This record gives sequence, structure tokens and C-alpha cells, in this order.
Amino acid sequence: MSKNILAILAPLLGITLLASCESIDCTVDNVVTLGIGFYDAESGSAKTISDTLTVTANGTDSILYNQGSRVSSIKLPLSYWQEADTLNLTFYDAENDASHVVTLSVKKTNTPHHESPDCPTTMFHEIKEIAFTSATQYVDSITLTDPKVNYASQENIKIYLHPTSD
Amino acid sequence: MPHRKISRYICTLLLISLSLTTANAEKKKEVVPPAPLFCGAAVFADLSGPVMKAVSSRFDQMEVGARLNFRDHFFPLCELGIGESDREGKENNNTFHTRAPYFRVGMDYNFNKKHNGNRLMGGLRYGYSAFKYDFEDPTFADPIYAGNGNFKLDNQQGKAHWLEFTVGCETKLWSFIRLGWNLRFKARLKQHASDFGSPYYIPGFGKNGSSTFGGTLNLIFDVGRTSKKHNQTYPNALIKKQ
Repeated sequence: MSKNILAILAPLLGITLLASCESIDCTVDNVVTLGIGFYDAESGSAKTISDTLTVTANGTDSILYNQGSRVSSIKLPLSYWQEADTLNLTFYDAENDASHVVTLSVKKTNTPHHESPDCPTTMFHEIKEIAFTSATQYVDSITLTDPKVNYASQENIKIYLHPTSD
Repeated sequence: MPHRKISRYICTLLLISLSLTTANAEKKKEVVPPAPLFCGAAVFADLSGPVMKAVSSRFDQMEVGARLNFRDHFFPLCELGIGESDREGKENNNTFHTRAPYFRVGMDYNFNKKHNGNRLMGGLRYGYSAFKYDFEDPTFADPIYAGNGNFKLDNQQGKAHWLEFTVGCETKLWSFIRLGWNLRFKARLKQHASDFGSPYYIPGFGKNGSSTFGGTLNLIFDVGRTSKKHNQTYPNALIKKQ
């Protein structure tokens, strides 16, 4: 009888330990960013830009992307609360000492997203509309490939660069 | 990956114990007549709930159940409980809260061919819970752009279905009182959550995920036919001395 009781009670320790074990497992890649890829307008293939790229945005003093060179894609944070973000992409051509500023307007909805209370709350977005303006013929066109901006999104917008942009 | 290893380990243990039982039975070549078709009923309560509440602030569940006993091998059962989680983030001020009922139905099978009061059980259960949950992040701030706010969700609707595979054992303590434990591998079949995110905890299931482990420690009271006899031997059961 006592052996039976001991055998039956032994796992209680295991269950108690199991219950008291605690781990924090948040999503490793928990940064939500807008993915932008650069493409050649003529061939449609991915393009590595030779100019230096810097991105700023209206509504923040932070530089979202600072002097990147030889990039074919970038990832940019969007605002949590604004319904539309205005992103200023400045392509600097060092050879000719010329800058091409492209203003990208992104209209979106914002949806807070939570997981475990241990993990930081983030904001998911759904892009409703995009538009661009440019004083020079640097960008040919843009397309929205994936409107959902969340943990899983890779590339949301394709920017087709004019063939003369090199 | 650790879940797979543990489940493989549990399966191996189960298979070994099954093969030992079979080998033992063959060796002795005993013919044990079947127990009566209906061997009684039992009600039980999970003692691990209060233990979990005492040692863990993450979640706990208070659970009771009832089962029937056919031939001392087949135990159709149902389990009812209330699961609760009142959780604050370890490194932030986020809070999660839910408290809701759940139920499970299923069956246990007793692998012990002897009717000596000890049972080696394996079982399957289907679980379901419909619940509401609250989540709050009082310092939800945009790290780059200006602005912050209090993100608060109240009464978000959640539903979940899951399966539980159990292994365990139980023994007679005294008269009609028994004690038993079981370990459970729980596989979530489907869940419905709000657009803002999945619940941290599902009542009856545990910490939310595609699968998880759990266990219960049950105090069991035989009622009806079995309890009147005050022992676990059946009239037409043959028990040979070792």
C-alpha cells in the first residue's frame, strides 16, 4: 500500500516542476517593416542601385535608412498611429554630385497586435494606397505587391527605376 | 523539437510497459475471466490545480470529472473545469486575463489485465473551450514616430478545440478512494482568436501553442456498485497468488 502511494505521488513533484517552469518565447523577428524592392523598369529584374540611398519621413526626426549603397531592397518602419506616411527617398549620385528625391506616400490602416504579455505589442498595417512624386526621372513606376505589413511580409512595394537612373 | 523528443520518450515508455505486460501475461499463462460488463462509476477531482495556483502565477485550472467503468478496461469519461490566467509581463507592464469553463470527453483504457486495483491507463480526449480574454499594454509607444497610447482590449472572443493523448496510472488508497496521475500531450486542432492577436492561455489546454504538455493528479471516488463492495475484486475474476 505505502509503495503504491509513493509510486503514485512521485510524479506530483514532476507535475509541480513542470507547472513552475517558465520561459519567455517571443517571436524572434518581431520587427514589423515595410519591404521595398528595386527593379529595372525595362527588364523587370531586381536591380542593385549604385547611388547612395537615405530615407527620412515626415513626422519623425529619425533617419529611417542611412546612406545605404549597392542595395536592391530595403525595410522601413511605418508609423503606428498616422493614417498615411510620407517617405522621402534620396538617391545621391556621387559621380555627378546630384541628388534625386522621390517622395513615396503610403496610405494604410493600423492594427495593434499582441502575443504573450511578455512580448512587446507591435503594430500591423494594411496598405490601402500608394503614390509617388519625383522632380527627376529616376523612378518609372511603383506597384503594390503585398498590402499586409506584418511579421511575415517580405516585399510589399516594387519600385521600378528608370533605365537612366544608373 | 523538445516536444517531439519528449513525446517520443513517452511513446517508448508506453510501448515498453505494454510489451512487458504482454510478456508477463504470456509467461504466466493465466486465464483471467473478464470483469462484469458494468463495474461501476467514479467521480474525481484534480489536485494539481490548487498546487499550480500555489506555485505558478501563470495559470491554473480547477477540474472535476466523472467516468464509467466497463469490464475494468474501458472508462468513458467527461471532465469539466474552470481555467484562469492572470498574467503580467515579466519585462513590461502588459497584462492578460481570462477565466472560463472548459470540458473534455474521451475514454481511458486500462492495460492491466489483473483486477487488483492498480491500473495502467492510456487515453484520448477531445477538449473545447469558448472564452473571453482581456489584454492591456498601458505604455504602447511608437519607437520611431511620435505618439503613444494605452492599448486595451476587453472581452475578446476566443474558441479552441484540441485533442489530448494521456498515459497514467492509479491505485486504491482505501476502500472506495483511489489516487491516480496522468501526463498529457495536447495538440490544438483549431482556434478562433480576435484580429488583434491570439490569447496567451486557453482554459483547459494551457499556454497557447500548436501543442503543449500537461498533467493531472486525481483523487477518485468509486460510486455505486464498486463502492458498495469496498474492494476491487469482481465475483467472476480469477486472481492467482504470485
